Amino acid sequence: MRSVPRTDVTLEEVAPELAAAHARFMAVAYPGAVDLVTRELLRILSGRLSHCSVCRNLRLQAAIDRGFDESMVDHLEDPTNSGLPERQQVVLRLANAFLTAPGRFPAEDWAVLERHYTAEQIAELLLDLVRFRPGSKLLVASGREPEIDELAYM
Amino acid sequence: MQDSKPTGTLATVQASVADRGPSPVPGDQWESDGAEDVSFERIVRHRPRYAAVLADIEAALWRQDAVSPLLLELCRLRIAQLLGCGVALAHRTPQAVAAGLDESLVSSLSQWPTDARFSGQARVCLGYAEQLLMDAQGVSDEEADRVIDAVGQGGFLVLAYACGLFETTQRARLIVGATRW
Repeated sequence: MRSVPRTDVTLEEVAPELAAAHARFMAVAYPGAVDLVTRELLRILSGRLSHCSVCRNLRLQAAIDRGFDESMVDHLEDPTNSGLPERQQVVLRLANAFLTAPGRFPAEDWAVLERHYTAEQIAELLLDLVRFRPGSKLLVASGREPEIDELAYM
Repeated sequence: MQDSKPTGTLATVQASVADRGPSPVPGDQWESDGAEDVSFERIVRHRPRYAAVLADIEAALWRQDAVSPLLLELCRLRIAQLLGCGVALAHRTPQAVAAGLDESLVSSLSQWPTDARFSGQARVCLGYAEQLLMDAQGVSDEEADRVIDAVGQGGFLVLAYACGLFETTQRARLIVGATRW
């Protein structure tokens, strides 16, 4: 983890239109069609698999208020025996496949996903997965991760 | 397609996508022109405002001036090679074509480390793109300095974001079994 910036400039300064669009991407993501606890699990798993300390450590208070529990995080990579409901397990399998072997998300899991989620919700989950990593890569590569590797609440 | 034989983590990235089974085409709630036609855009347009901003980001990326569309396109295609994303490999970004994208260079893309036709700037950027795909934490200070020397601080930042976006938009096509970009 590197917390010494490698540049004197920011994306906002060198590519303002791109940075503004990225900010809108985050703003338009919430509120959404999928429950916030499930999306929080997806976001944290993406942060873990992207080795991004900010995404990995950030906790949304709104998700905690809606039932997110820290013990859920223990099972993100292998949710099979997690006790999480099937609807959350399949989202975690989607995220794991997306970020490790995207061609290997089986048709059976698509069927489970479609049983629990509407077309709008699946679109949202896919867009979440597209959204997380570009910002993570930028943060990590530019050396702008926080010095302290601990949970942060927002 | 002939490709170089990477080792280590890069080989793992390729192996993880190389043995894909049949495309896991989503089921019947998706509109389609036909049974074989699967498009990421068709799927995400069910969340229209969110999808529209993704389109804004892609448009802004190809309009910024810190990194040329030719360098961006080479990085996008190299990531597609490593992820095995056929629809991304078949696609050409109009801005790159308009800027004079050399298809013979694209054909040699997997040989970029040794092919003398790739400029020093292109090699630095392609190496950075590969490292970002493997693990952004692995970008060393020396590599960051080389990239900044090649494309400036702005280019270094834009490439980091762009490569992340190329990666996830291609992973999205792979997971839905997209038949076209």
